[in-house]
Amino acid sequence: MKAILILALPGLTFVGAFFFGVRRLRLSGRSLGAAIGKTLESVGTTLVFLAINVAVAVIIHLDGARLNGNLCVSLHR
Amino acid sequence: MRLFAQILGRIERLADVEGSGMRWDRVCQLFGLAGVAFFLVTAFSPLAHLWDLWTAVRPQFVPSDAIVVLAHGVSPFGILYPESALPTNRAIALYQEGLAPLLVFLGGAPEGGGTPEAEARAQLARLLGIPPEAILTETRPHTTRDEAALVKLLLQSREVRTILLVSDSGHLMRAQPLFERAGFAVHPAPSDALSDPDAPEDRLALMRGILKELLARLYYRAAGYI
Repeated sequence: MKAILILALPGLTFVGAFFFGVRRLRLSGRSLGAAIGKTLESVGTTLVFLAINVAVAVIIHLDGARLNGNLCVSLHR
Repeated sequence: MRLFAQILGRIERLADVEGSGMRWDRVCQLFGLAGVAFFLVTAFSPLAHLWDLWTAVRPQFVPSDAIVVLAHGVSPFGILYPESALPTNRAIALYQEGLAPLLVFLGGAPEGGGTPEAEARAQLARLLGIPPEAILTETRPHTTRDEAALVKLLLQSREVRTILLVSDSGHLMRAQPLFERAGFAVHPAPSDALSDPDAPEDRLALMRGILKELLARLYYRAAGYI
């Protein structure tokens, strides 16, 4: 029930906002696809940068550990 | 500002792989779509629970020389967090069942000082009737790797060969090979209930824990620890 509510609330808001934009504000319905594409692109870019950050941290940490023997700061418990 | 625009333009040109028909923005869109889909499937399906069950370590409750309980965390007031109390209780129960004559509690002090986790666990065990001479504590380790090394030093003189290793299932998958490398015959004793959470936030938290442990295992493997 809770899961349905969590899904339904943003879903209905989305549909309502879409119709409001198209009917009242005379916005193009097609541009919604482009907007969703841009949103997904932002999410994807965030994920790519997260992966790069983690990879760089691991490489730096492993190199540091090799040079230093054992680093004081651990990347993981 | 102009230099920044030039750099951005160069990155864009680099990302636009000629002839492949695949551009950077399309790649990011695909990653984004995959990320959003994964988020929704995790939150609104039992995927995390199924994954947890699939990767769970099977318990081996067999007589051993010692029970070793890995660290999880303690509050600044010396109160064990649920993730720490669960394996502690499991270890005490295993001791009371007569599976090992020795309990080893691990865990340092919280940030900013306070009662170390191992001491808080030992206090609880004594309250529940475990004789003090059957309890050992180690408060120095910061990582699972440290734990294996320090437990080896601690138990070397007592000629402990086989241990019941107590922690949550995900952690045990990483800890077991570390303790085996330290020279112990390890019998895993997972302490988690492996329940199926209903609420989306609980499912997401479970998936976060699974992915965190997966990354930790990859990191330990890349470092050559396991």
